[in-house]
Amino acid sequence: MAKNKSLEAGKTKKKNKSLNKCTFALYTMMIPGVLYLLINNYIPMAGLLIAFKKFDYSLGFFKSGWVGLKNFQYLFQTKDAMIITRNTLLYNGTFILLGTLLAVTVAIMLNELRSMKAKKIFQTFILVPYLISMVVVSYIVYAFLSQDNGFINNTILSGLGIRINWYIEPKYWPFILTIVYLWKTFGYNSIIYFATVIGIDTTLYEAAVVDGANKWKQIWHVTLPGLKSTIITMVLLGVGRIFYSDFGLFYQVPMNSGPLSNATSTIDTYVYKGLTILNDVGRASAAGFYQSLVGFALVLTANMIVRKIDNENALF
Amino acid sequence: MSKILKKLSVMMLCITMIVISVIGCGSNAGSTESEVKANEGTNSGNDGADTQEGAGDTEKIDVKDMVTLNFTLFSIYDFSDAAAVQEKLNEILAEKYQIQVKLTFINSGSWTQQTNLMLTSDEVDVLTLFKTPLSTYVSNGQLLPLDDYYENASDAFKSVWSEDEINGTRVNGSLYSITNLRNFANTYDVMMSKEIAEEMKIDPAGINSLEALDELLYKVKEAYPDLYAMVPQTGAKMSGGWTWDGLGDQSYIGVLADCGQTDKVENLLATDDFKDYCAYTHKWYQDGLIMADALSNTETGYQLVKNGKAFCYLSNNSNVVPAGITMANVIPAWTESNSYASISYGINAATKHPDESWKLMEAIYTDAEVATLLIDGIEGIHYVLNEDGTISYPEGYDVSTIPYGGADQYWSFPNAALSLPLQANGADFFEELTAFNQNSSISIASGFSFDSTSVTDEYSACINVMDKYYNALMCGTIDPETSIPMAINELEDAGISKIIEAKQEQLNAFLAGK
Repeated sequence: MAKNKSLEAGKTKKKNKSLNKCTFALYTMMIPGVLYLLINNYIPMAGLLIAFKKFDYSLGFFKSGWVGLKNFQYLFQTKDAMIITRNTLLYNGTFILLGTLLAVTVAIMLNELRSMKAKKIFQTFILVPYLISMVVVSYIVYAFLSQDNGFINNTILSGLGIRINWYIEPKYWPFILTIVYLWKTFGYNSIIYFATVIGIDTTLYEAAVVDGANKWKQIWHVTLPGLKSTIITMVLLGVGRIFYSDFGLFYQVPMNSGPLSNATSTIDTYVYKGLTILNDVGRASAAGFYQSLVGFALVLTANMIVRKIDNENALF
Repeated sequence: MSKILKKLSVMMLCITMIVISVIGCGSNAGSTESEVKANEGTNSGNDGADTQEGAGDTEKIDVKDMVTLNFTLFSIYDFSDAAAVQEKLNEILAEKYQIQVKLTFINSGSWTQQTNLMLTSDEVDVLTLFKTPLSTYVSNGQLLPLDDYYENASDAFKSVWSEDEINGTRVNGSLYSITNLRNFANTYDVMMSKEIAEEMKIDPAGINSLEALDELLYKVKEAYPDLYAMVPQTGAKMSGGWTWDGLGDQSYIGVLADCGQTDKVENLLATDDFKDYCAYTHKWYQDGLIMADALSNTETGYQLVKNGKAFCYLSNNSNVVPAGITMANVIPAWTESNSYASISYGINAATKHPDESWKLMEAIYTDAEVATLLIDGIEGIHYVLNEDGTISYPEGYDVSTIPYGGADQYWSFPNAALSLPLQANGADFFEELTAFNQNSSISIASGFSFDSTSVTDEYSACINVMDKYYNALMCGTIDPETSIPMAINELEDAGISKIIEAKQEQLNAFLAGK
């Protein structure tokens, strides 16, 4: 008995030794990546301090004077501040909701396709909008919505006898921007969900069929639960960025048209327009800091909520 | 065998990797930065950290020991031959001034970002100050004060500019840059297609007000229904200003109306000048005379007229008439208060060679040889000298293909009067330009600069509001009757009265001290 035990102990010691050698090699391989992360992502965090300074180029970063929270005031002072915060939150909330819905639907539909060829073709095509630069997209939208030469005014609406000046009426733009955003990103996001869907165990489907489930019931009871953790992760990531907006989408697509400001300006475009001439590094950094702070708080909150509901799916 | 080969190849790869990364780390940090900049499409000659220490400046020193200054200029076109010009320039500078330069031209598109980066370190010594307001450069601490240097400057230098012109680039009493020679005054005119103007026998002298233009536009629209009767000057900007003096502020928050002949600072949207202008443009927009997509426009009015798509546009001009255009003057020449400060040359506050930088400043403003070389290029290669003292581009080249030729954008160089004018502009061009400047009516706030540090938050808020309404009102796309009161309300909420008060206070103090 004892001999066995010592033999076992000997074996585990040997195992530990070779394990140590293994892990040492692995850790060493990690060093370049960790170094890169440290230098590129963590050390520059010190730059957050610029948000609290009045940056004077002749004094440089360390000697410029402190101004406390003064750089943050312009974000909250005006009526515009309410509008931009409202816009950013509402747009991003809508994007997360509708974007996830659309992407999941498309992913499930892709999964239902029988032909491999069709799957590949569709996957390629739905990915193309994501790769098109926002500036090009803004011109595509202009081709549709231009007052004189636009497709919509000249064909669809001329039949009905009305002409809408799209770039001057703000009320259409929440819809226009949402449609453009969804068109652009649904392909890319659906690939992520699709990857999860094809990983779902097919025996579960068979078991469902045996239990008498039709297509809808199968999707509801097998596919969606399988997608649950992916959806939660993606939504949490989206919530973390809820205060950031796609600058290209909100600045380029409305073609920087003044009257549309109330419906299309977000924190990023407001900061850009207000500070681009003034070259005020302190206040621009304050805006970025504010966005990341709120995003951080929201991620923690959302994660806490998810943890309460379903422990395994929380991010941390 | 293959096992050894595998091991060998793995070892070779590792060694290669290590060697390359060591090389990359070991070389000058400046050169990797410059590679990035070169990739961004700027002049290839920029090498950042390439300065050498200089010895004294009165005795003859060896070229190798001379200080090399980084001289950065603004340019619309790419000057691929800058290196050749730089070489020639250095020969002259070495002999006369014992300094050397490294010429860099930066394109309009990346101008603001590139220069801001350069100003964060000592990568540039002397540069053009453009696009960013001078007061912003100063409040950011980016410029070296030049008072002492100017006091002790040579007489030749002091005679280049008048007292007023030098005071135009003072901020808070200190001199931070030297203005350059261009049209300080602007006329505001209707630029009409020459073809159509001749066909319809339009007399430019008769179009001297918005009223007269009103009549004309309807006639033109009838005769040419397929053309836009009027388009913006460029992009969504209907015209580059009109009769309001922004007091150094291109967002026109708090202006002097009536070409700066009043001393009351007002909200632009409340002035009659603005209301009249917008009433006309709105009328024209509603009747389809102005291009409907004006706010999304990305072309220049000149292009649209040249391509036969439009009849006319409003524009600010100097004494030069572009080709193919008949010009009708509406607002006679007047000089805005910040005109002297809108383009100027200054020295980086972080420079390591302030004395030598000042020497370079003196050279570019007073030395005809240096100026001609800098602006026109090398004779024979970049231009051909004509008999009447003007220059032309060599056979087969024009302004956009010539590898070096600043004569066309003389207005961005320090002292173009010392260089040779283009044949198209005529031999007396620079004399005419100076006369044009002197004969204009000058805003009473000339030389005034506004210190906005006490109202920065209100300022950005107001800029956002102006952004919403200014272009839209100027192009006539929204109804001034309802929009102007709305806009004024929003501006009040944003704190414009605080800004106007501050501006008026500072202006009164400035005028009292004059």
